[in-house]
Amino acid sequence: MTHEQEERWHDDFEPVEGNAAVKQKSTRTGALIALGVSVVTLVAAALAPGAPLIQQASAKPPAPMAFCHAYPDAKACNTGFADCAACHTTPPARNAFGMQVAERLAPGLPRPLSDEDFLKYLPGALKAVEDLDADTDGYSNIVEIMAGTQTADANSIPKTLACATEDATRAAGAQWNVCSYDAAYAFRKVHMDFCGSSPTRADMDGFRKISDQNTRLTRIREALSKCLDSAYWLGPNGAVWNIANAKIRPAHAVKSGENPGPVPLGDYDDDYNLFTWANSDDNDVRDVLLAQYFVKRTSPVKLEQISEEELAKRPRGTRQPVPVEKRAGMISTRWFGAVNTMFTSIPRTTAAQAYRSYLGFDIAKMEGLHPVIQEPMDYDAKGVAAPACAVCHATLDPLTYPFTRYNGISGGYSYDADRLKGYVRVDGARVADAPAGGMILGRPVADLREWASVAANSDPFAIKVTGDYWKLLIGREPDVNDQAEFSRLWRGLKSPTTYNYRVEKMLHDLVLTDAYGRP
Amino acid sequence: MTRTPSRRNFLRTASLGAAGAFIAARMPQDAFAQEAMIERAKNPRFLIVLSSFGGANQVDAFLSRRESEIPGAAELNAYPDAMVQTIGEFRAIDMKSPTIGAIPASFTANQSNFVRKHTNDMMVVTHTGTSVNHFVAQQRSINGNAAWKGRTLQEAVALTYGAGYAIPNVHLVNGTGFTERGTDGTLPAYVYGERAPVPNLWPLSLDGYKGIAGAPDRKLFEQARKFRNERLDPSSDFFRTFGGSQRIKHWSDIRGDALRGVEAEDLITKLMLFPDSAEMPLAAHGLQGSAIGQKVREAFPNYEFDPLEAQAALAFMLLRYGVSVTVTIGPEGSAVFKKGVKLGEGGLGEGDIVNPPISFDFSHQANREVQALMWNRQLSIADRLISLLKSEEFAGGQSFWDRSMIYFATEFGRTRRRPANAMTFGSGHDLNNGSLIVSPMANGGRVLGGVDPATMLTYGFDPETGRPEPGRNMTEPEMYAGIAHALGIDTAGAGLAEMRAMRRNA
Amino acid sequence: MKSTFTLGLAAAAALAAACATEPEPAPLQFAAEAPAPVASVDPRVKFKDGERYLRDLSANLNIPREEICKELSRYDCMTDAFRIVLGGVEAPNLLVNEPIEDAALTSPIAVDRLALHVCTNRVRMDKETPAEAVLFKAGAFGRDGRAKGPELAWLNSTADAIYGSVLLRSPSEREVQNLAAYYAQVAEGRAANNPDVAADWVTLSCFAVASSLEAVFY
Repeated sequence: MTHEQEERWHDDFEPVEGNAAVKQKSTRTGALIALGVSVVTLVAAALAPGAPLIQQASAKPPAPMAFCHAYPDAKACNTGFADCAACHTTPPARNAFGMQVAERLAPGLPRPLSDEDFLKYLPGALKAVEDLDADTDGYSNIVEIMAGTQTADANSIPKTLACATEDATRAAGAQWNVCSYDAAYAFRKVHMDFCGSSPTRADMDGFRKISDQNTRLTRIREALSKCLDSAYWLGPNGAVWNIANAKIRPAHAVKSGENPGPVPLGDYDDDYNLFTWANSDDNDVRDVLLAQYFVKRTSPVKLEQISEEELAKRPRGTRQPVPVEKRAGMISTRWFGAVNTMFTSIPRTTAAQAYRSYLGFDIAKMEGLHPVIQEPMDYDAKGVAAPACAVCHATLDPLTYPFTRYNGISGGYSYDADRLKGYVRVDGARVADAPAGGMILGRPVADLREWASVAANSDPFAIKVTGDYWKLLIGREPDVNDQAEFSRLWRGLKSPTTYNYRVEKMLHDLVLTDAYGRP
Repeated sequence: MTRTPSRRNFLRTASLGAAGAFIAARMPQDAFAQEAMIERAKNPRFLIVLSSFGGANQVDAFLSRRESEIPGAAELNAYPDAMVQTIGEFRAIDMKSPTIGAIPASFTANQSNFVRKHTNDMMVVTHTGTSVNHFVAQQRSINGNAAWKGRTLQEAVALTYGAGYAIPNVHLVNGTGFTERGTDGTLPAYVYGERAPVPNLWPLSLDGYKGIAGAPDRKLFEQARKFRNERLDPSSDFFRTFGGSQRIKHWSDIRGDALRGVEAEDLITKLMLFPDSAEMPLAAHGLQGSAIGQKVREAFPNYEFDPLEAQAALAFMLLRYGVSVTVTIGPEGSAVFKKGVKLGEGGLGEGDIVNPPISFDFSHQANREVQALMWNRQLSIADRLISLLKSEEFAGGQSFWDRSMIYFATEFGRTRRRPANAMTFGSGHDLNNGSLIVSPMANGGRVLGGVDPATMLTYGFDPETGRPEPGRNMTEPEMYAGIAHALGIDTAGAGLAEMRAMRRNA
Repeated sequence: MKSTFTLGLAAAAALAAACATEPEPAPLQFAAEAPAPVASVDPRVKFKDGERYLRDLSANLNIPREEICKELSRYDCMTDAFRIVLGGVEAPNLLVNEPIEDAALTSPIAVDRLALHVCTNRVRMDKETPAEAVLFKAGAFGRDGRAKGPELAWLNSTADAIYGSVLLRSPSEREVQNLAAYYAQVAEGRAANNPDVAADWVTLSCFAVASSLEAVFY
């Protein structure tokens, strides 16, 4: 897209005052958008199983909905949307199944296909490959689609986990009982996973002598309680700390505070400590996004909140300049601004990192797209309205606006309602028009606090929190056979009467799942 | 899997020595394919991916433009006329600056020396990518946006030429998408990248025995491994219970032939970059430094504190000793300072910042300074690598460099706008850019494509002749094809474009 | 879950090949042979990263963690040398935020080095301070040290010490037989009652068990 085209595009729309960042002057769609209805919602409704296929004028990928229109009973379509991974590796790159489909999708027609043609020919192409076996694992594509396993991953196959009676009898006397929850196996794993070392041989021998299953489970829970307070679990560089690595992305060269790097910008110890705090004891894990306080470590396993007075007395290089009422847990810290926002007016990297880290959606992989019509507005003239960019930026930019009032390195990591005025010289006059409010998960939000609140109370947040621990403890992403147990855990995390956002409570049940304890 | 080479091919592999042993273990069933594999292993080409994290911008280097050439120069990234040198078809920017944006750190950067020295092997190709996301764009710069079933260029090179090499594809740079595994899961395990994250101690992981004081005799040690692999593990209840695990299958695979092949090469010695010293007491542990260590250390004297120099040094040794056919190196996200530099101790002096944080992407803060500093760094590394590769004979009077290519992979370009006449300004990500490729196999001395004076965006070229074609944008798959073909990789059946213009003597 | 067995014929025969004179038979203690295992249909084994691996061996073989494995006598095998290939992370400097998904080509070599370092160290310490020996204990060749080959009781107790220290369980009869038979291989070309042979057998048996699949995965 040329700059001239960009200008024309922008001339059609103009932001208006107020919190709803996505309101537009356009009469064509403005009314719908003002009601908070996104294009995806519209298309999803149109493509819901059983509904007639209607093509919307949208540049957004219609494939996930179309796939589920063809296979409404497939397990992947429980939500009405298939995952991009059904056909892609990193979109638009296709996996083996996607390539089979592509070869049979309207051969002879010029590429790229219009959305209309794509929707028209996709069902036939899917039908044509049903009996093929894209990953050559011995299960046809259609069998895998209906079973909910990956058509392009030979390691993902439909499995029957139940044991025959004869096997169950034999397994019960074997060293590992692969036919049911094996308490001795789980007991050792709990020590390994949460304490960082095996139980002693005497402990193992003693455990094996216990015949009552309830007593065994009690011992497992006791071991877990003890290990949850261990340095291996809670301490610096411990298991919880390492879960936060990808969210914090520490870089020693620019660390301040204890053990500083050569160019000390911010102290990520604050971020690790807050993360560990929210994920431990009787604390609410939503505080990773909602906390308006900071936490210090008084010993490797002891954490406590810092008073504002103490925070204010810190040396300059480790201060947290965002005022209390504007703080949003780990996504408004000095470090988060230093490594993500840096010097940027509209800090898309910051929003994308928050979205990926706390809701599990990687926009670069076209996950979690809730495009807002007529976005991206491209207030900073970065060319993101070009079609190749707009696919993601229609979601990402409205997701980003609430971060625009938070300074990175330039501006000293503080909150500034007029921050964007300082970027007019570099990014042009329109940058100051970018709103403070935005959209997340299809909902309008007034500012970053509200952004964080919507995020922290969402299903994706609970799924991401539970999924992080699942991956660590089970050793893989939840697969189709794990869904019942996994779903129970993340729903329990949200439920006020079950775990009520207490991670440790959730973990006490996780170690009793078959996924964890059945060898 | 047991391979059964034809008798003729068996004899040929035997004549190849160590390489033959690797080939024998990796041989396909088909006799013609076996023969082709042997031929390619004897006649390899080498790919060095010098990743340029953050957007190495061509219009700040070899496609730079003078203000007098650009009608809207005041608001586009055109340089003062005096700063832009023309050398053959290329441009070059030399710069001395007292600051890097807001950072008071002076530096001197030079592009012209490299261009003059390597003009004949330099090729700049324009292209436009499809993502401005760092990680995704990094991946696409090496897989051509899944141009060939998702396999990366490094994997394609390893597949074509690497069968006779112990570790064909080594990744020395950490934490970037340039070393992300490709998505073609059908390739043999040996072509995927092997991490070498700590250059000084990594060679120790290439031998399970050497340097361990007091251990029983090596022959007994090998016997113990055999006992474990063939008796203890297969008969264990653990294996009989969990042997279906992919993790265990993979582990059992790589601790067999692959492991023995690596150890037979004595790489623990050949690749030991560091000399015997108090910090690296090799001799006291029955080890020694590499025979070419001194030469390599002289080329990269900052290997002890600059990760990129250490990577480049080890990369050269991997190629020189026939361990690998492709290596990936590059600056990472962390800042690198001259040895001993600390803030708050008298400020930063000339050249104290060796690598700004987030490398080329620090252009968000100071486009021109960062581009100059980082290009200077990359070109300096490349120049020294080329010199080393030229100094070593491969065979028949040919040097290693005669068979090598350095591909400066990067994610995207930078936005072209600037505040009126500003010298210091930040830039964003722009899909439009180009790549530098240096190789005797490339169409050297050429700029393929051009720069539109109205926008300073690049435009493409005719894939056959290289003739500039304003209005055309070259794609990621076309770049992938051009590089693969210049490296002699047979992409038949992949549906890739013919990019003859990117090959020497095009 | 223990019951008494006598040493199997295969092991006895193997030892006979190694020893000029077969040692006196003795009643031995083994873990009962469990029923043949049932293969897991959905094995979810995980790699026991280098840190936990060394911690376990440190505790069970009574060697301080900071001394248990040093490359070039100064670099910790896990923290400094092989952290990434052994499943660790190093976020602030190497930007490796998560453990590698698949083992690297060098991972099993690194595990072998760790196991060999640890077992060599333990046997050296046992030789230096026999009263505090953990694996290589006295009595290999009888009370008077004059037997022509290793005593079965000593073989059994050593096997039990190795399995108990590394895998936290007693060896099965088959596993003891395997190790006993392996003695003959270690002794090949040397006298079976050579103390160096016995020490080598303990070191290498320890190595084999400590680098076995059961020791590396869980």
